[in-house]
Amino acid sequence: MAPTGTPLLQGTLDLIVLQLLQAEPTNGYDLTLRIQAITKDVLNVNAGSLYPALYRLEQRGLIKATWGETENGRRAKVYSLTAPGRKQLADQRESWERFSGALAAILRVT
Amino acid sequence: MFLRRRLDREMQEEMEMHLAHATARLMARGLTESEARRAARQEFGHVDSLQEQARDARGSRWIESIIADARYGLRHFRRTPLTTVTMIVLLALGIGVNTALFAIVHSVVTLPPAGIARDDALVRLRGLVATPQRQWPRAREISYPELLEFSAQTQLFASVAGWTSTRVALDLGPAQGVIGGATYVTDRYFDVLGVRLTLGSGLPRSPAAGAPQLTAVISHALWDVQYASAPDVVGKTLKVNEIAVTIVGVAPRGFNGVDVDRFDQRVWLPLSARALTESTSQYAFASYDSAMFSAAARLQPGVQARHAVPTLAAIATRAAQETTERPDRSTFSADVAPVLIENEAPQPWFENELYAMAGVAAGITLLILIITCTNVSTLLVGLAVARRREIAVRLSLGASRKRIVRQLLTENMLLAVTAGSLALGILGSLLQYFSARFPALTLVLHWPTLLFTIGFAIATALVFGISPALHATRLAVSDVLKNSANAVARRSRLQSGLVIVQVACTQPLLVALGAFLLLTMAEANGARELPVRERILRLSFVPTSRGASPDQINADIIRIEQRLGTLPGVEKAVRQINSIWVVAASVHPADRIPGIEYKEGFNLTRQGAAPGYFELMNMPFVLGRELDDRNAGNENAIVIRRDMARALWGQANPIGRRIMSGTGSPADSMIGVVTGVIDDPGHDQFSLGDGYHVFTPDVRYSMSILVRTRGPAEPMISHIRAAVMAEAPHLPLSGATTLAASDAQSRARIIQATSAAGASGLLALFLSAIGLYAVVAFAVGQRTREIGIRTALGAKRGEVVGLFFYRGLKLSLIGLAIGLPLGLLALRIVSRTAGMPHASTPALSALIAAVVVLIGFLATWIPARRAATVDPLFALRTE
Repeated sequence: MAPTGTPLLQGTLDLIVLQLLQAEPTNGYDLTLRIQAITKDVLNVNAGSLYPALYRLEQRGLIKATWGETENGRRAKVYSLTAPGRKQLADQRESWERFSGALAAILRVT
Repeated sequence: MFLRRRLDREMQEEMEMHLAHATARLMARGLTESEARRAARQEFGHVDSLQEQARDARGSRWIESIIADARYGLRHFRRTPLTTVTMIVLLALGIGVNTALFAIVHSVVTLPPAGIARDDALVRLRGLVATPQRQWPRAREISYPELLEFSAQTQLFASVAGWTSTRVALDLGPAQGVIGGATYVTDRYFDVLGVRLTLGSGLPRSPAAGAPQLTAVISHALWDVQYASAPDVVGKTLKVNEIAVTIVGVAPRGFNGVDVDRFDQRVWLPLSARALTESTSQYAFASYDSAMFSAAARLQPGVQARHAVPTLAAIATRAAQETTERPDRSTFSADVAPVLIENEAPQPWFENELYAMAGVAAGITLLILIITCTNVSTLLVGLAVARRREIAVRLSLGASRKRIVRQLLTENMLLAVTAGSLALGILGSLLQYFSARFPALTLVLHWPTLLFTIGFAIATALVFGISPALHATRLAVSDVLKNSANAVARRSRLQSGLVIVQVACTQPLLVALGAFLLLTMAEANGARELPVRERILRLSFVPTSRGASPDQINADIIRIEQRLGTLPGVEKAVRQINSIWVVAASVHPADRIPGIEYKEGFNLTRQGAAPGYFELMNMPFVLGRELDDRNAGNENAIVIRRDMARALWGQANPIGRRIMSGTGSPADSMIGVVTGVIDDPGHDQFSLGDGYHVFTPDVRYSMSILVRTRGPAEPMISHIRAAVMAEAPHLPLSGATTLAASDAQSRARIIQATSAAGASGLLALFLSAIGLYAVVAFAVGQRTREIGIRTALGAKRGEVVGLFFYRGLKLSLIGLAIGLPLGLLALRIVSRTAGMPHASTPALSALIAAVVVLIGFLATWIPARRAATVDPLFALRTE
């Protein structure tokens, strides 16, 4: 479906969503646009994986949803991070950084 | 529900917004609106499958989804009403019958005796005796001094009661008496047991010294039977072993003391009365050797039963030292046990019998449960296999496996809950039936059992209902559509085996049903009653244990016999001895006939017959003569029945031939010389079935008299009673019934006994029919594709149906063949005990076999016929 884009690493979508929501609460559509904008279209997250991920995170209490309005006045569900979400993000980021650091080190050595 | 709808709506709205935004963005890039919408949708993915995934992610809204599942399940059940109803009825029967059976077993094994409330503070103080040979101690009765020492432990027991029981002659007034039970009790007996009297104030507390208290509480049964439940019974007197006692109370219905014995007509007397009503000695209550008491106590608040054990054991050990030396080197102890029926009887045989009975009942229970569950599971497997395609379609639409399994779980729960509530109804009526039939049983619904049974049924249903579904969810869609029949072949073989067993078990149970019906029919038109038995009255007298000597009583009986013989309307009166003996016997070696095989030590039933007995009973002599005065000096004369003469001596003359006791060796004594042969069309009550029956002239100490009247005997009973009372007012009469009435009574008992077996026969028939049906229906469902191919290749409908029909029929025929010997055996036992005419047994067994075949035929035919309705085109396309 996605014409371009790198496949997402397993488990990273949750991290991306949490990170973006920490920066600013927003709705689902905005999230897809932001992911594409920030990653310069390298990561193409389609709605088919984003929404289930959002519901799953909401279910686990890491994010919460409220009904708000978009800039152009439409009713939209706005997601924001909860306290457990913040903690989870910090944990995941730390382990991700350790992992990517290690990976980078290996790639440099060989 | 509403929450779920709202969430769905919100999800819908959110996704639509997303699409709208995407469309707008694409239009801004210059696409037309329709192109933009299409592209946006493409980018978004499949909306329905996304929503399904999103619902799964939302997860916790399971309550709403279960309701949805249940609705879906209900729709599914409505499509297969027959199977659904069958499964529910099966489960309900299985659960209901099982729990009822368990309640009965449970009541027998673990409940307090009837009339005593469950109470943790109420305990039995149980004497124990252990011998070096036996590992486990047995219960023993305790002595009065021990009882007193137990009672003195006031720091442990708030109150202690002791009692000792025996049988007594109860004389209730003019010519009316009965052998009943008597329990001599200490003060506060009824208080300790927590029994409230129906009438009266109860036994007064015994004074420290002075005259014995001659008062009695009577049992409810005694009150009902002998006093017609008269409310003014308190204050009347009755005689216990000829000592007059004043009635001061009536025990509640069902209460018959703590120990189980056969007397429900009973009196409770104060301990002090025992000195007058029983032959006793000064040692009875003084010696440690005189152990005749049982005891119960109420624990002090806060005292546990186990706290009291060491004290009691120490008392028992001390008591053992006071007794005379016991040669078996046994040691005494005592403990504290709950007051249960099961641990009341000191005799171990009683316990063993009880446990054997409980074991058999538990075995039947488990068998029924397993059969029920296998049948239900076959039906479920059939259903689940049939639904594989539906499951595959849902899977391909994006439902998760979890979701599908939950759907099936919900459906099974739905089944189980419906069946469970139906089972409660069945259970209720069964318990009511048994409580009414056996008032001595305190039936209590045992909730853990009910829950266990329902749980077991659900678990089986789940395992069998879900495993094919799980299998289906694991398979690729294309595989499912190819239909893998092999996976279940092994299971269906197991199922066939179970069906065979079920059919085999059906027959013996149906024999009971057949006997039940035959007896009920006989009862309805009174076919078996010989007119003469309506005209014979049996009068039974109560032997008193005090006063008159046996010879005096014998003289009384002979006088009454002669007096009754002269009464107008009476043809004849003959005294009869109430007991019979069964002995091992054989034919004297010199009196054997060549060519006839002789069994050594066959069972022989001996019964005394006074002169005139055979004439009175309408048993004509075929050969020889009566056992009368002409036999004087020949104590060994015996009269035998024609069937015995025929079997032992064929056509030869049996008169003068000898019957020996034992195996016929020279050392054995003679039983008798045949002096007469009678023709016996109907048997007397004493015929015991197995073995032969001889009559001897010994009628000393008869305790009953047979009176034959000219017309029906029933209207003459009061007249005859009055004559007996005038002749011997001191000899209480315990019963006066016609032989026809006692026949009817014993038939009624058999009908009652066979009705339960008959009901289980019906249940078994139903279960095996369902089993057969399920196997054949399952096979048809499995092989739809094959049927399609066969029909497409030109097989006739009849051939296809035959294919399945013969398979089912084969199963029922195998079951029939295995069950036949069992059925015949059951038939033999039933016809013996119920006294059915032998002519009816072949017809009955043929009928039963025919019924089994017919039911098997129907249970196979109905699902097999379905194979013929398979449209080859449809079968091949869809499979």
